[in-house]
Amino acid sequence: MSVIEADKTVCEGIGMCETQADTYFQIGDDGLVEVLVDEVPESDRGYVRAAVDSCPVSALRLQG
Amino acid sequence: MSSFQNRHLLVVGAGLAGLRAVEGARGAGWSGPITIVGDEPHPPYDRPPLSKAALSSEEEPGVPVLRSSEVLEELRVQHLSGVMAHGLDTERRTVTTSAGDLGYDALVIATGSTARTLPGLTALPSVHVLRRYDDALAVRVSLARARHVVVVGAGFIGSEIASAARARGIEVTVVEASGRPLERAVGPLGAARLMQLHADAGVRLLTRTTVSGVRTSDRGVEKVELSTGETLAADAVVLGIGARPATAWLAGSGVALDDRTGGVLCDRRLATGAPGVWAAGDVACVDGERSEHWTAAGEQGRVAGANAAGAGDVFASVPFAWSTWHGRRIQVVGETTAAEEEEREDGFILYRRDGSEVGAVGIDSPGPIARLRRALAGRR
Ligand SMILES: Cc1cc2nc3c(=O)[nH]c(=O)nc-3n(C[C@H](O)[C@H](O)[C@H](O)COP(=O)(O)OP(=O)(O)OC[C@H]3O[C@@H](n4cnc5c(N)ncnc54)[C@H](O)[C@@H]3O)c2cc1C
Ligand code: SF4
Repeated sequence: MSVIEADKTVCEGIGMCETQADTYFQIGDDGLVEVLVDEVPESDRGYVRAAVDSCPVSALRLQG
Repeated sequence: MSSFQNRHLLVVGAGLAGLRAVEGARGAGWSGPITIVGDEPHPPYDRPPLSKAALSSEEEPGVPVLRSSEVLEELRVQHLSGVMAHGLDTERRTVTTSAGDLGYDALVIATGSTARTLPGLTALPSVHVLRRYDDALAVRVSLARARHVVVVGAGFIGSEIASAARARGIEVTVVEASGRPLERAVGPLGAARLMQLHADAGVRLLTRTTVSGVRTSDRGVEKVELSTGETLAADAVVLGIGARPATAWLAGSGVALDDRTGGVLCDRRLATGAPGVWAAGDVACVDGERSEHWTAAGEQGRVAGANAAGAGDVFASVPFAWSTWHGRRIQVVGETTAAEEEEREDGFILYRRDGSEVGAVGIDSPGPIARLRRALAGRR
């Protein structure tokens, strides 16, 4: 099990994360990232990793 | 042509668009070998941080790589770094490079762009452009000992450099040739609001002004002479005067370039006129436009790679770009030219054409920008 961490002070609302893994990320009404589910089972790790990596301002981390 | 599983995809240009082309092709089921060729010595990396965090951080920044080495390994892509493409033969399906000839079954052109310079100003110490990681390191060194910096060009990159310099307490003069900077991109109201941010932060902006000469000593830049006759004492000059598509290697290849922008002509599927050749990112001119923004370069890369692998995808994303000036979040969405402008709420400038909302500029307004972006995407 891995855990998603998002830093809203860094997020630019670009939405790459939502485009790639919309069960985990959404742009909220404030225009910034909201993590919908923060625990990621092994089976989803690959594509959540790709979404985390795709953030151009490194606002996301996948721990563990 | 080789058997289906052994078909070779060649991507020239190892930046964002090139990397996303590799991912797009694998995502669409390309099973053969993929090679990505880039003239820089680094793994594919991201440019936006170069004019932001990389200039302001205390410690020297590492290369802002786009993907970890594990992810690159999973993509089964061979990266030839430090290799320059010199020519393309679309009939023999061969790219000539500094490391020999490379054949391909499908080719994605993703060489991005090269920063413009001013005649007579290249190769002078402490006169910089900012396009590559190595440029960012050089600009950092200059900023670290500068008291007065002259930035040439009040576009997005010039403005970010000015912001980084102000944040270090450096005196900044921005010299801009046009009368109204950024007006072509975001209209008179949007441009005025953005330029106000510079004034508020203590940046001196000189419009209708160009650099006529730079005086240097062995310590670097000493003085900058302006077209207005004024001479500024300055220790560094950074040019932010745009970038032209990196297409020199395509000369004589038959791949057509757009007359106006110089970009590689392609349609919304990112196909060029040559068989088996796609283009994406800053180098591409899609339907008459070069985007030169991160989100477009990435999405075009993905579409070009997927289509090279046989998908039928179309590039149709809503234009979106961001920037950071003096700690303020700037976002530009949709179409912001040739439209009626209105500051709908503080820091949210809305653009309308024939009554319908077509775009916006946000200054610290991510919420309204996100809502408009979603609405515009829904209409496509
Ligand atoms: C300093 C800076 C800050 C930016 N900030 C933002 C921002 O905040 N927001 C935003 O939306 N956009 C921003 N951008 C724009 C964005 O980074 C670009 O749109 C994006 O990098 C384009 O990607 P690309 O892959 O098309 O080209 P590039 O990133 O330029 O990659 C092309 C690669 O191809 C290589 N290459 C060129 N010619 C050859 C050859 N003949 N043979 C081999 N290799 C070759 C180049 O060296 C380069 O590595 C910024 C750009 C810069 C330079
Ligand atoms: S990709 Fe990064 S910047 Fe964009 S919305 Fe997600 S977290 Fe924010």
